[in-house]
Amino acid sequence: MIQITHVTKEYDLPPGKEGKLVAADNLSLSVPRGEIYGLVGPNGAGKTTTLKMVSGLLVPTAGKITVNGVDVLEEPEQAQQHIGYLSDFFSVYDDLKVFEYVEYFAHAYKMDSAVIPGRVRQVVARLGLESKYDSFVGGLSRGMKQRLGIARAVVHNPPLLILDEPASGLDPKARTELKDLLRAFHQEGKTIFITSHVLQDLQELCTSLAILEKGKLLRHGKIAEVMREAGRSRRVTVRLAEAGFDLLAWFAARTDVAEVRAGETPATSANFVFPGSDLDLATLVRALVTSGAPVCAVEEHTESLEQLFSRLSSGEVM
Amino acid sequence: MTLFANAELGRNITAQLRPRKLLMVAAICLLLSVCITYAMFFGPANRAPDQIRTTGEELLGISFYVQALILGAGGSIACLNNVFREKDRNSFDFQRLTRLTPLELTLGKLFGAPALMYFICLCFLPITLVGAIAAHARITFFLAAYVALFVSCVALHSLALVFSVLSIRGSQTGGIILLLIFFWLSSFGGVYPGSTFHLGPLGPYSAPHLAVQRTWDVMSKASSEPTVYYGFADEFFDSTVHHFPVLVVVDTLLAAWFLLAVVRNIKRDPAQYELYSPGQFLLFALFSNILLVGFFNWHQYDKDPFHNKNTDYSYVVTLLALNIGVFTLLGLALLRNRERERRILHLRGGAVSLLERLWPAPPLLVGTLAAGALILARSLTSASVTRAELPIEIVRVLFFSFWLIRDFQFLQWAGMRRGKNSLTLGVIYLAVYYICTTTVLEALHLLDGERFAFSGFFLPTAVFSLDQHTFYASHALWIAALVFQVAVAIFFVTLRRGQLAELSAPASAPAPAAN
Repeated sequence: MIQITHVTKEYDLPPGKEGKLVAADNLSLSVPRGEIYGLVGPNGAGKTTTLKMVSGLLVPTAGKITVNGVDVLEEPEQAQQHIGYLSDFFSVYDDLKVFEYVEYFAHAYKMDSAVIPGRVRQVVARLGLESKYDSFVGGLSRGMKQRLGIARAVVHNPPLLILDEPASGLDPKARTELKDLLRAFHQEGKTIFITSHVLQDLQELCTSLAILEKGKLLRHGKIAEVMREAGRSRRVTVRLAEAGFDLLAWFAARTDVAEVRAGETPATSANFVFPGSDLDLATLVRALVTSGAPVCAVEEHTESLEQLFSRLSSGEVM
Repeated sequence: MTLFANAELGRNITAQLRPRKLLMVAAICLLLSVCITYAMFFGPANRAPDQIRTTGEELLGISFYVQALILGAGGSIACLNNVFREKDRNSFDFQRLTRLTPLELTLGKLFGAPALMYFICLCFLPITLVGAIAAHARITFFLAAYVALFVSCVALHSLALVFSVLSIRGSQTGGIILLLIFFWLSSFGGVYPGSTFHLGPLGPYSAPHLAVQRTWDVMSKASSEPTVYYGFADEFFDSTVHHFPVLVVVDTLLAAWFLLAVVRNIKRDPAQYELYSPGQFLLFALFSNILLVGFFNWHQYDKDPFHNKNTDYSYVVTLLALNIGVFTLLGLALLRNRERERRILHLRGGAVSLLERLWPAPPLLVGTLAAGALILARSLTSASVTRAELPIEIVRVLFFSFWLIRDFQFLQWAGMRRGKNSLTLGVIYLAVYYICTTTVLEALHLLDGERFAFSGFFLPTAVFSLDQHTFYASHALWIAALVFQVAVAIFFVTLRRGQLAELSAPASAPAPAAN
């Protein structure tokens, strides 16, 4: 759906500082159709710049971006019909009513006039704004305005949603509703390219992930792969049904595991770092069982996205 | 998409013309209209039957003045605020993302932003009709006045949209002041022996004059009544034409030029704004000069005892001086910022071509020389310049051209320096340079007398005061001063080499980022 090829975006550093700010440094990224693709990075990593370049709002210094096969720079209007965009900070037209606001964008996206009233009602209802249908936008709460922003972004039924911090300023309930809504859009086949500071939400929501820092792509791919690749190794806990087998000694004798420690119940559990693949782990467990260990559980402890991100962005990986 | 199905127009109309607001505005306008009409027709001095027609003309004039003020000034401010506000509240990006073409978005704003002003004008239509009936105004002039009002306001609104698109945070007040100055300037004009141009006012205030006209006949040039001429017959390349079609054509073309700038940029990344392409820049400069030369009064000082041909007064100087304004505005539009230059250089793989090194000199050189050639050609055909005077006029044109190139090379270098408002600072430095130089040259008595030629090195405007005697007395110095302008321009070209090298350098290790 999105193809970013060798994209660079340079700015000048603020007055008094030499050098240039590279918001995107020779960035190449592919967002497949139907994915919820999260873009993670610290402030200044270049997330918003990347999203704006994909939307055609910012022109990259160099490189090429296509959306649904259309070159964003060459044919911006053609590309933009495939995009629904929500920025992190925005305002709405306070002097319009809710339905007028959505209707305006439906017309601006050149939807068939005959279907616009029905579509507007449908979108407004879906975003839970029916009770405010005929109210002025100026009177809406922050959360409602955010929902109205999403209504605007989806009214023309674009196959791609580009959402920059859509959950910012929302209360926990609204955030949950937003996640449900995005999952529903995903089930309908929409591709979602999203940034958020709430990494837990992204971990729950995204199917793929890219980690940016200082304009460079640190990791990208399916979320499980990224987590595993970025983690130095996984920690595995083995629990036995009964005591009597010396787990610590058995693992200590092996060369394919590291950092072997006793578990919460030292007699029946132990954990270790395992750098191998899933298949290697299966072989290890089979060997353990063959050695007579009454294995009743094998648990894998993966790092949370938040832990991974904080480790990566602190420069451990770079 | 037709204009009336334009989503942006619809949004503006919906937001501005709510029924309750319309009722309130209509009631206020009605009240004002009734009071004005009563005061004018039922005042003690105006009750005489023979006064009704005169009072009607006055009422007609007043109502058109009011509408010109509302639609011209009010509408322009509404247009100026339109994109500015969108940018300010961060909703403009969403418009840029829609499928509205730049032209549709522009037209939606052009006619939508002043929607309320159009409605207020409509509310003043009844009082205007009362005035027209009482004045026995001719229907064709009544309609022509409205056409003139509309077209001239559209031209002003288009200019306001240009300002609005280019506006940055904090520039709104300056934009409004500049627009009101343009609005005020557009009310000047006329055709009389001493006028600089044989051209009536092109702004909305031409409408009140047009509404009370009685005949479409074009007055002959021989008329001894200058006031009869005023505003209603213009002279274009020695042909007398009625002011109304001139106003419609000129204002429409001006509006088209302004709208072109808006359409080219309204959906662009603001860092990549380019008001006109080099070709359009040259065409606009040519268009401006055709107007300047075509409507110029080549005989303005013929009957003036203080100015005659023997005083070596040069019409070429006046036209070149007017071109300073034209090329200053257009030249500023040619200047490139660092973002734009960086992208151009990256697109060319970091190679810095000769055009990049010399920018904006090439289009400026072609434009100023073409304008100079047009002025000289017209001067020769109108016999205001003789063949003997031609060399000095050519020197003047060359001086004018290289002077502007020198200053714009400086501004391009200054504008590309790192830091905030670098171009504004460049303009300020240039202004300070001219003030200081003039003061020092004046103190050293170099602005006149035998050593006058030295001033040409530092203050190229000196060439505007040059006469044949002074030129031939020290022509080598004048030529040296001309070469000096070129040398200074080359100096600034050299200074820019480092800037271009920095911008074309590939991104190496990323610098600390913050967005």
